[in-house]
Amino acid sequence: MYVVLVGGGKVGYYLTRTLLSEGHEVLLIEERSDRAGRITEELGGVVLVGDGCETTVLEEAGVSRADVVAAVTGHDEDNLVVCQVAKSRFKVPRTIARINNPKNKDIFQRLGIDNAISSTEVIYHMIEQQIPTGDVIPLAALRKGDIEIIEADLVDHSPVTGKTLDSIDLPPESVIISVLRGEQVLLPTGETELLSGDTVIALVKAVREDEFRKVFSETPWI
Amino acid sequence: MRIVIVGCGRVGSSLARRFVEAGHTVSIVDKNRAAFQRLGENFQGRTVQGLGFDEEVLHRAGIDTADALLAFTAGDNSNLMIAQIAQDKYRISSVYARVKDPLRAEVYRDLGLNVFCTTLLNGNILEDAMLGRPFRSAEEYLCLSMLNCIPDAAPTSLGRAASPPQQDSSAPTDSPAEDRR
Repeated sequence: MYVVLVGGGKVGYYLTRTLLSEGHEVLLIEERSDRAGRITEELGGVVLVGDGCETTVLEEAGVSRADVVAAVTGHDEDNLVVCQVAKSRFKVPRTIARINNPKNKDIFQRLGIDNAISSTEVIYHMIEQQIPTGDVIPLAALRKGDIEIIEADLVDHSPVTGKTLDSIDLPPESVIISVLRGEQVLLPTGETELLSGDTVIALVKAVREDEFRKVFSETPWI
Repeated sequence: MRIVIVGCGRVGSSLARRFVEAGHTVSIVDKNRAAFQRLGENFQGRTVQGLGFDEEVLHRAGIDTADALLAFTAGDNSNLMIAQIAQDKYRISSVYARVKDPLRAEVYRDLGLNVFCTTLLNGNILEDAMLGRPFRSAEEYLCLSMLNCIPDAAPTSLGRAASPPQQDSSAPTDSPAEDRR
């Protein structure tokens, strides 16, 4: 994948380093030559000095063949313009903007940025996710996210507690692969009865995740 | 008309004064309170301190009921973001953004924004003057400066009202140091 990053602050630097170590082709555009120099010393010739909002600089960076452009400067207005220019002028298939002020998320989405990511919001959601119990949690994504491994923790009042597997109305394209009960790992059959405290592990097609939640979770909206 | 101006620099402040004198309701936004000194002591409009692309600030400036918005801060990207908020979210019919970079101006003109490229305006007028060519009409200069100039488009009334400062080639005198980009 060819990734063009704009903004060589901490976020841009660590992203460049991580993407390079994963074997991706990366170009980082940074306006300040002192910062660009320090990053070049450490990571090699992957930095272009220039203003990533200028079409000429984006052209020099070969943005038209980029798979992803991510604008991660500390200025939301600059990140917006980078993504919009990349998308409208260079037809970049995927644009990602870092949002420093969470209030701007709505307007970024309205203006056609594919992904607008606010670190405040991400951390908030991570904190929130620690709280609910009896929830259905995605464990891993397979095949580019098409299929997910999902974990559902059952409590007394979960809708499936006390039912046998063949009496549960599973959504299509989902299969229960295991039930964890205390120290035991069960390979369940149709007669296996689900108990409070069980953890159900299932393979679910991503598009069926919401249906799956409705069957297993007492709070399907979480 | 209710007009919101973002950026109280030389152009923004002089436009604000002119619009107030012409009887319009004006509120002007700047991140720097000291910038409002350019308006003089008896300015009859409203001044709002804050970042122009912060929607709360724009609310305080009355964006919900505005008929026109001018984005005239020193930063091209700020102006482009403010103008798009005004046009796409608040559906204000007369929105103008000053953009100094001609290439960026072209991208946003193609996206349907009223961009006003002062670099091109100055360049075109000065080029004609230096080469001894006859001057073009004001409309022609505005079109060459990337202003969307479809004859039937609503914004022309504001374009005419605002024409004196736009023809004033000494107005955009911002030094490079003032321009973040």
